[in-house]
Amino acid sequence: MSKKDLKTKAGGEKEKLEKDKRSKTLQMFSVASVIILIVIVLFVNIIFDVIIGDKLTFDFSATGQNSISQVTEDYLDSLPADTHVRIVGLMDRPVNLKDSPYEYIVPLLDDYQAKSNGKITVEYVNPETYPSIINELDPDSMYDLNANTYVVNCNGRSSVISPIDCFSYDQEYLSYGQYLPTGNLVESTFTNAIVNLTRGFTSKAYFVTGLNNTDEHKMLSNILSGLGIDSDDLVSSDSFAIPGDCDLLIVAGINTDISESMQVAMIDYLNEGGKMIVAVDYYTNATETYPRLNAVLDFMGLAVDSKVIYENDPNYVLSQENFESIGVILADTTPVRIQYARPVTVNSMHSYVLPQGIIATSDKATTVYYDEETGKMMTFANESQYYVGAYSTYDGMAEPPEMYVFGTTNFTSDGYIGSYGYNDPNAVYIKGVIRDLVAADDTVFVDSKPLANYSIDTTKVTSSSVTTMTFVLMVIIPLAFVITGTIVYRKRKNL
Amino acid sequence: MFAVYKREFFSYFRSPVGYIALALFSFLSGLLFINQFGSGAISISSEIISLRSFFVVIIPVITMGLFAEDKKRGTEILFYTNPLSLFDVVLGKFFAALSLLGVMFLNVIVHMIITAVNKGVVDIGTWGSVIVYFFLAILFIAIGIFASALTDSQIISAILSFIIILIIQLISTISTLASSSVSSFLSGKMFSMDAEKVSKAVEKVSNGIKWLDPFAKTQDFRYGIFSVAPLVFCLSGALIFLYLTYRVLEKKRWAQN
Repeated sequence: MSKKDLKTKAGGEKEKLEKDKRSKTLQMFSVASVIILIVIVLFVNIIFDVIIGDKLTFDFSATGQNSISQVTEDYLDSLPADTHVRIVGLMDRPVNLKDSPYEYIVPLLDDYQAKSNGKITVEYVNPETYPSIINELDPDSMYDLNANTYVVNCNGRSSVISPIDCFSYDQEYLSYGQYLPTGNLVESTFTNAIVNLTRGFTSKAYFVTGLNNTDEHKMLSNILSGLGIDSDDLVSSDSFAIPGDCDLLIVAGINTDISESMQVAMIDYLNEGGKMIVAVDYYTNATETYPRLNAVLDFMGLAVDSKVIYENDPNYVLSQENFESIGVILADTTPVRIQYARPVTVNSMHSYVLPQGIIATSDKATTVYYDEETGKMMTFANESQYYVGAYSTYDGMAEPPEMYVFGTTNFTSDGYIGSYGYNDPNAVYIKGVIRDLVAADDTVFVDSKPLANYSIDTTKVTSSSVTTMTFVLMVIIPLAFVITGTIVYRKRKNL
Repeated sequence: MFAVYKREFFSYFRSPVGYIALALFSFLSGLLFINQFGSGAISISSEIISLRSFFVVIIPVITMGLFAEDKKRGTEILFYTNPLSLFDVVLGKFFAALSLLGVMFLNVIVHMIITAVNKGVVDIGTWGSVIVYFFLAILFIAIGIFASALTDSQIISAILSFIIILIIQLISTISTLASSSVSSFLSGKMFSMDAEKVSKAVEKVSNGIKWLDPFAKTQDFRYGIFSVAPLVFCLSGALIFLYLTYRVLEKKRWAQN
């Protein structure tokens, strides 16, 4: 090999080494620049997410569906700085919110947390993966906590909120059982729970029990609790007495008449300006006529009949077989659902007693009774409008007694409220009744928010318009693109 | 950059690809719209959200040829010889693909008009969904372009971007699977951790994975809640993939093989 060749080879190797070096430098630069960019991007995202993310979030929704209102904000501000309200969703944090009740709950709860200055924390704990959460929130097993509900906990007390109860519904009675959510009560429900837990109860209600009661009135207790009213049982006994702190006495779902001592105690209670709710139906004890209970009701110019209402107007009938029909609240014509209802009669012997019907059937209803001898339902030819609910009070008294009587347990029973929820018109009505009797403190009142309604003018959704639209949008337009593409392809394929 | 943009955008309409993508999008959006129209209630934001799930097919179709085709034909040499910077080339192609998606979106605009004419609601949530749609498109198109720059085969490019976009769409599912795996691993015999610690570890893993989910981050827009952070996330994600694309192209200048 000549000197020249050796020199050339050495030069080539040097050049190659330089190239390798340059290449490695550029590779290093390339990798380093990508890593630096990723680090910067992560840093920027963390800053936006954690530090300034909330400040750069804006609720432009028409009714502020996902933001707490000023009323709630003001109440949270008024709470002492050391207040700690814990909202626990007994579930994994919902991810796919679309078309689920959580789409209005999850963002709003995040807003509670963001705007409470640390007074409210929101967390999601699935009791299946972390079972001890149930015991942690409810060590005395008082609240019957279940998965997929929210628990609002403060000062060792809890309030349980089910997502389905956070909405109001428009019930289409004609297509039985169909509900359409129309109102968002998420903020109202959670704020009420927070108010009750942080303020404590302001009144006390007693349930009369021990008379073969149909249920344990858990649902009605929850309603009372939501209104800031504590509740307790008052068991039937020979020494029955109504406690002095009783703001409301509830006789609901009993199947045996009250005792004589109870009759006396109740009349005394009413004499002292007591407030009562009475609800009995026909279903569980058709032969009971409640003479002593009627004696108490008579004190208010009211009575419950011993027969059952049979609705004949097809616009009111839900199920004739089950004696289920619509009653109408006379004050605002709101329909409510009644079942196995006894008529409530209004008959005052004194001018100072002011009884009045509040819920009525159609004017084509009749009454029936069960004949034990023949085992058949006996119908009367007594077509008329019947009261299913009535109210009475005394005139001219500073603290008058007040009483609401229902011939059905559809306003008070666990069975009904459990099936139809707290936003059912019946439950809403009983809430109003309780507020009326106990004057529950409603200073922190959050209104329902209307949900978006995406309905279009249905008169334009005819079968021909749907067919035309389908043809244009799904056939004509796509086909036009395909044909144009084919023409372009054919013209240009040889270019 | 504009020259590259113009060339790429019009090239969609010089081959059947653009028309097929348009036809496919028109059909799918029409199907979603008609289903709602027939029921008497139209939520355009629901339609847009459903259309987002078709990104996994549409984005690979419109991005697969952006670099792969040039590589196959050998015309990529022009990127290195013309006075444009490589980043301008990447941006030009990126905006061309985004514009095509914008043209496709005209279908939804037509649906909005039909909805308004029929006294339906086109609310703030709808516009929130539109914003999210385009920001997610920006992220996914950047991914598609990156996939296209990695290979000279359009099919491989499409498959690559399909897989990446699919993984992103399945992040919430992946998070759930990862959580249960971590949970069973930590509570197994090897670690025997107590339930509380396991739960916290699982939550951290789950939240860590979910943090990468652009769909979860942007879901509040449809309710009218606009937030800057998710948009920054999409833009910065797109920036990373566009820069990676640039680096892949730049590599050719100095790589030995």
